[in-house]
Amino acid sequence: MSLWSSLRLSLAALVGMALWLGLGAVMVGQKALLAAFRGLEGVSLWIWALGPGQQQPELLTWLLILFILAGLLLTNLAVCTWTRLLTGPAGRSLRRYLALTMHILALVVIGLQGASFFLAAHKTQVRLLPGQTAELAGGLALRLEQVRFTSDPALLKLKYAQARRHMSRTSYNRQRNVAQVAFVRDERVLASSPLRYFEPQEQDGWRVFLVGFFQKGQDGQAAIGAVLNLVRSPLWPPFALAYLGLIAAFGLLLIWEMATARRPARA
Amino acid sequence: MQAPDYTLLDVLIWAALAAYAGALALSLAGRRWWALVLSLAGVLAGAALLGLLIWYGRRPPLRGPLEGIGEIVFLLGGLAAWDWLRGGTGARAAQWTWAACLALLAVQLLLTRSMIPDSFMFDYPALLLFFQLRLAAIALLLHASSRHLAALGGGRLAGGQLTPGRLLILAGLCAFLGSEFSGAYWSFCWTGEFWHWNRGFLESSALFLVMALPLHLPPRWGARAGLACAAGVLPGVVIAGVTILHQVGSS
Repeated sequence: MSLWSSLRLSLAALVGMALWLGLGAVMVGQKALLAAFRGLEGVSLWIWALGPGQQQPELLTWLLILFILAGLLLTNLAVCTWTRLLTGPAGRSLRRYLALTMHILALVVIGLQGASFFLAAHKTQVRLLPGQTAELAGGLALRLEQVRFTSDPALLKLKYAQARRHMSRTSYNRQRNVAQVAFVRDERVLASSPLRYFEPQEQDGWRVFLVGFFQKGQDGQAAIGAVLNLVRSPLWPPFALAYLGLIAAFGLLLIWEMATARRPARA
Repeated sequence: MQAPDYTLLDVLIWAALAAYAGALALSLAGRRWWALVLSLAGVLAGAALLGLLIWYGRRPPLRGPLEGIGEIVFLLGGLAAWDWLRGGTGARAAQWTWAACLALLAVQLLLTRSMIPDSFMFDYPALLLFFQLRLAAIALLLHASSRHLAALGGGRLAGGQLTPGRLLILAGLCAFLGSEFSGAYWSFCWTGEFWHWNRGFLESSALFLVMALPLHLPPRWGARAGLACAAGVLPGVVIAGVTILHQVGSS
């Protein structure tokens, strides 16, 4: 037990995982592997590992070692929290309770982050024209009712890098470009609302996000549609709550340590 | 967004460079008050640069060699001036921080200096908070590195000499976590995902672990001055290095 709760193991796991993540950051920068990393988006790691992952041995190996290191770190964090902070001999100071809270919340945050890798239920980059529908689950569907696009449609023809340069706050008002969407079941409209950037709409656990717009057809008969992400993300609320709690605990620890710090010795 | 006057911005960068070089030289020569005057001149030049960037962009600085380093140097200048006034180990930390300002300004002058193009997202509060808190975290952690170097430079470690450095690491961690949460919120509200398998996500996760290192030293290792100080120096140096490399790579 003492090995699993030791600070030396904590250090080794922290260093090992930091270096391994650093290697991953270098790998993402390689053109050959960038596409492989992008293939991980929006898909459960189980499904990926048993399917497309078989064609990506470097990435699969990297992920496997990453999860072994993460397992080591989480085990150490959990055992250390139990033996040193929860049941250990240290006094009942506020600092100890804060440290305990931080470690538990860190466990929750990392655990939920890890779980989210396997619980993906996403339909990303769904392109709908007005009147078109995207099926979700259990008979639920999303229909794009209409699009109100007030910016210059020529912006929608630009490539990604060019679009980033030209879609400024003055040329592309995100509040005025709106997609009207409706959640429907058996042709019955359950909810209909305007969808804007950063303002997702929710129905039966599904959230719909406006990611962008696209133009189909030539000038005379061009139609503007919406690019949507349809996501079931049950882990976001507990993740956000635990993360905010972690920040608050760090903040309280900082205040506590500032209040109790002795003046530094002068040289 | 108003067209920036890059000549004026360059003049302010050179002015800050000259002021911090002077402050460092005069502090080493024992001219305490002149060093303070020049360091405050550096902070003023940084404030003017920041003010112009905000005026031109109609938003706070976000990232990149001009905006990001500009704000980090301004914050570092303020922290160094404060510690210089406190004297003792704080004064030695200020000297290290002025040296860091010089290094950052030199990097800034070597890289392409331009404001990042405006985006329709640049009025979204979570995005602004993500970048602002990240820059604050870098400044706090770099000054924590200075604090640890200064403690080591004083020979044997007296009790509590590492405390200011540890507090700065904790403050940097708070700012970093705040930045990461803002980034996750921004990402979630835009795409429905609070993380992505990209370089930024992997680097941020690695950086968080590096920041946790000095807080998890075994007591026997923590009692060794060299090791404790090296662990305290690490987060600031690594986050600044990774951020500069990231921005050079993506520019």
